[in-house]
Amino acid sequence: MTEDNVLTIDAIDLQSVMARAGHRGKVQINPDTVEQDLAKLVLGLMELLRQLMELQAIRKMEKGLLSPEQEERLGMTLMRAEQAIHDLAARFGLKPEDLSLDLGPLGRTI
Amino acid sequence: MTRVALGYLAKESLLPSNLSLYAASDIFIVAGHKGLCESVTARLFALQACFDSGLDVLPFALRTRVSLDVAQSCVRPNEMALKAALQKIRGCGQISLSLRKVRTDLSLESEGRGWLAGRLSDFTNNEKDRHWLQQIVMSIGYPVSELVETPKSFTIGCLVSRQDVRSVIDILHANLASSGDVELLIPRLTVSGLWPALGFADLKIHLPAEAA
Repeated sequence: MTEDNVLTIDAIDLQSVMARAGHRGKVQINPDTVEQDLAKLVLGLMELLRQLMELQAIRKMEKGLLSPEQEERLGMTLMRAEQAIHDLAARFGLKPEDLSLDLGPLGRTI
Repeated sequence: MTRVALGYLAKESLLPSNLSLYAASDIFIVAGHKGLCESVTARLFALQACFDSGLDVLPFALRTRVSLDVAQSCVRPNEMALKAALQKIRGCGQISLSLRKVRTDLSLESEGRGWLAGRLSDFTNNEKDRHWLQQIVMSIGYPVSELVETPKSFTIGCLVSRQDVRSVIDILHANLASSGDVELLIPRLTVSGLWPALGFADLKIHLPAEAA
C-alpha cells in the first residue's frame, strides 16, 4: 500500500467535482443541437429500460431461475441491444456515459 | 432575479469579494450577482471561496438557482431547522471518498451466457465495493453522507471538524491497513477535501413556486 500517494488531502479533484456538478440539471434542447439533444433523451430512456431488463435478468440468473437456453437468449439480446444503442449514440456524437439521465431528486440513471 | 442566493450563514461575517451578505431575521444570506453565480460551477467556486475563508455556509443544492427574495422568504418558516442545520456544520468540512468501479471487458464476448455472467460478476463486485466503502467511512466515527453512485464510481462524504482533519486521516490510514482486499481496493480509492459540507446540507425546505 503506497499511503503517501493515496491519502493526500488537497483540492486536486476540484475539476472532477465540478465536472460532475456541472451536468445539466434538466432536459435542455437547444436550437443548434436539436438532433443530438433529442437523441440523448430518447437513447437515454432506451438505455435506462435496457438496464432495468439487464438487472432483472441478472437477479433471475443469480437465483437460478433461468435455464441455460434462457440465459443465452437473454444475454445475447441484452448484449446486442447495448451495442445497438451505443452505435446509435455514436452517430450523434454521444458517448455511453452521455446517456446517463438526471432524474432530479432520484439521482442519475446508471 | 438580480441576486442569486448561495446559502445561509449563522453570523455576520466578512465575505470573499463579489459576494454580499443580507440579514433575514437572525440568519444571514450569502448571495452573488446573477451574472457571477449563474452556473453550477460558478456557485461551487463561490461556496469554496467562502469555505476557504473559514465561513460555514449552509449551501443551497448546487443545481438549484434560488433568488435572494426566495431565500429571504424561506427563513422565517424554517428558522429553527435552519439554525439546527447551521449548528450541525459549524466548523466542519467534508472529506470525500470515491471508489472507482471495475467493469469486466465484455467487448470480445460472443456468447450471451458469458456476457450475462460477466454482468452478474460486475453487479456482485459493485455491491461488495459499496459495502466496503460505507464500512470504511463509518469506521472513522464521524457523520457520513448518503452514498452517491455514478456510472464510474461510488462517492461518500464524511463530516469532519476543520481541526480534526489530520487525525481523521490517521484513523483512515489505520482502518484501511486493517481492512480486507486492500491491495485491490486502494488503487481505486481517491480521498479529497476539505470541501464545503455539500453532502450534509440535507435540510429540505419548501420554496415558493417562483424558485423553480
